[in-house]
Amino acid sequence: MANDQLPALRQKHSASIAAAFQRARSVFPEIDEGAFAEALASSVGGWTAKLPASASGLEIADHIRSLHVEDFALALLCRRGDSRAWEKLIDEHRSALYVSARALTRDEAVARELADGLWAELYGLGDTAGPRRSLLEYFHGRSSLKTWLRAVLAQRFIDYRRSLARDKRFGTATENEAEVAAADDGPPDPTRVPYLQAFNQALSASIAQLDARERVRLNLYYVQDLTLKEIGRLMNEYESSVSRRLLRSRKRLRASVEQALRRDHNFDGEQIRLCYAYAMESWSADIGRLFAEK
Amino acid sequence: MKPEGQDRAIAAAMKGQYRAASASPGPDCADVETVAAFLDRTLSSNERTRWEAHIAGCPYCTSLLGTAARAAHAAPRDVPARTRWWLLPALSSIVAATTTALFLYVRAMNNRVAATPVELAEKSADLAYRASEAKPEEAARPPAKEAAPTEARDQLERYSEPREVLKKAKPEREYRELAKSDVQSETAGSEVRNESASVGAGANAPRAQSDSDMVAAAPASAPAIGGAIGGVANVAESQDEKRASRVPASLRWAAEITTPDGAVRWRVGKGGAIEHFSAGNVWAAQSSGVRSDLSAGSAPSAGVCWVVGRHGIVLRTTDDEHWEKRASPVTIDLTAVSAESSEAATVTAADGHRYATTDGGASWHQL
Repeated sequence: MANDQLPALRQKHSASIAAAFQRARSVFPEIDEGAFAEALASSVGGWTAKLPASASGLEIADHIRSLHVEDFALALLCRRGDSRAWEKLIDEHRSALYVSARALTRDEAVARELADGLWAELYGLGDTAGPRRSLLEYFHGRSSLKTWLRAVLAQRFIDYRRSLARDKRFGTATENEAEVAAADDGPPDPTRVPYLQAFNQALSASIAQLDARERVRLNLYYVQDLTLKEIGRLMNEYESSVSRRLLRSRKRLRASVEQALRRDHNFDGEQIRLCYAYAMESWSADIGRLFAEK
Repeated sequence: MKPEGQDRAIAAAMKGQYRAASASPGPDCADVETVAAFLDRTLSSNERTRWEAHIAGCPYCTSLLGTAARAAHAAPRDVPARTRWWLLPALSSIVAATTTALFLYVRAMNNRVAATPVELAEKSADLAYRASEAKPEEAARPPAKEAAPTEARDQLERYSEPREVLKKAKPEREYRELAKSDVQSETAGSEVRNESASVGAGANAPRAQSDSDMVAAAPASAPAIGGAIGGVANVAESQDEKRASRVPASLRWAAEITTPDGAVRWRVGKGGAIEHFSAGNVWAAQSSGVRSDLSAGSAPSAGVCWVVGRHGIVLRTTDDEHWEKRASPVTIDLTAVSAESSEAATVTAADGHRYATTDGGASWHQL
C-alpha cells in the first residue's frame, strides 16, 4: 500500500487501531498514541500489499485484532530508544535466544556468534553507514516477538550453513579429490546410475501426488528431522495424529514408487529391491558428509 | 527389503533431492514474518493453506520453517544437562536412609497405638455408647477446667484450640459423614490420649497437636469404632480442620482442570505452578511465565485452557502447552473462570464482579 493511502486506512480503521492501542497501553502506559497508530497503519499497509487479492474492511479489522500489539508496542518503543523497553526485551528474550541458538548448532561458539549478531542487528549496529536501523522495524506483530526472533535466528543459521556449503564447494582441489577418493570404493556398478535415476523419478512423481500437508509433514520429518511432537505443534495436530498420518503417507509412497517402477521401467521385484538398496547407499553417504555438523 | 528399510531409503532419497535442489529464497518465498506467523498459527486459514502449498514444494521455505520450529520449540530444559554421575551413589544412599527411617517411624507409630483386642473392643463400645448419648451442643461446649478428664472431654479438649474451629459448624448430617471417616482413625490415638490425661499432663493445645499428629499417622488397621457419633461429630469436623491446617506449605495445587473429553488435565497452584497430564500418564510441569498463585481454570475444548489467579492474572493456552499471559481486567485476585472457547471466557474477581472477553482476553467488559 502506498504511503499516501495510509492516512485513509488509519481513518477507516480508527476504531480497531484505537482498541489495539488500548491493549498496548495497558502494558506500556508511556507509549505515544500517534506513533503507535502510524506504525500500526504502516504495518497493516505492508500486509495488504503482499496479499494476492485486496483485503476487505472486515479482513483488515480481523487482522488488526489478531496482532500481538503488546509485542508490537515493545518493538516500537525499542526502536525509539526507550531504555526500559530494551531492558524488558533483554530480560525476556536474551537468554532464551541463546538456548534456541544452541538447539540449532552444537557448536557453542557458533551459537553465541549467531545470537550476538542478531542482538547487534536488533540494536541497529549492523549498518555502518547511514542512520541506525533496527531489525525490529521488520516486526509487524503477526506473530509473538519470541517466535519472530527465533525465525530470524533460523534464517541467520541457514545463511551460515549455506556459506559453509559454498566454502566446501569451492574448496581446494586436494580437498575435493580427497572426498572423491573417500567415496570411491571399488569399480562402478553399471546398473547403479540408471536405477538411481529411475528411483528418483518414481519418488518425485509419487511425492507430487500427495497433498500439500502430507508433503510438508514428510519434509519436516525426513528432511528437517523434526520430532513428531514438534511437527504436531507446527501443524496443530496431536502427536499421535502426526504419527498415524506419516505412517499412512509412507505406505502410499512405497506403493506408489513400486507401482511407478513397474509401470514406467518394467522393473521386477529384484530390480526394485536394488533400487532401494542403491538409494540407501548413495544418499546415505552424501548425507553423512553434508550433515556431519548435525 | 522390509518396509522399514524401504522407508529409510525413501527418507535418504528425499534428503538427497532436497540437497540437490536450490536452497536459495525465491521471489515467492515466505518472509520471516510469515514463517513466524505460521509457527504461531496466527495466519488466516486461507493464508495458511496458500503457504502450505508453497512450502510443500520449496526446499528453502521447508528448511526455514523446520529450522525455525526447532529454534522456537527449544526450551531451557531441552539443553542437555551434564550428567553428574558422582551424585548417583550419594542420592541412592539418601533415598535408602530416608526410606528406612520412614519405615521405622511408621512401625513405631503402629507399636505405640496398638492395644489388645479386648481393650480395644471395650473402648470402642464405651465410645459408641457415649456418642449415642451426647448432644452436639454439649460436645461443642468447652470443658470445665477442674472437671475430671473423661474420654469424650479429652477429645473435645484436643480440639478446643482454636475454638473458632468449632464455631464453623457444619450440618449434623455432614458431621456424621465426617465422623465415619475420621473418627475411625481417632480411635487408636484416643488410647494414648486418655493415658496421657490420666497421668495428669492436662489437655492443652501442644499435647493435642502431638496427639493429632499421632492419630494422623495411625494405621488403617486400628479397629474402627464405626457409626455416626454425635458426641464426637464436632471433633471429627475439627479434626478435618486441624488436618487441613497441618498440610505442608509445599502442597501447591489449588485446582485441577479437565477437558470435556477427559483426555487432558492440568493442575494449577502456588507460585504460578502448572502441570499437565495427558496420554503420557505423567504430570509434566509447564512454564506459566508468572509467579503469582493460580487459583482456578477452565478447559472448554481440546488444546484450550484458561487459568486465573492472584493479582488479576489471566493465562491461556491454545496448544496444550504454551501459556500466554492475557490482559487483566482487574488487579485484584481472580477466583474463578468459565470458558466457552479459546476466545470467549468469563472471570470472577474476589469482589464478586464478573468480566467477560470475546477476543481471547485482549479486552474485557464488566458484566
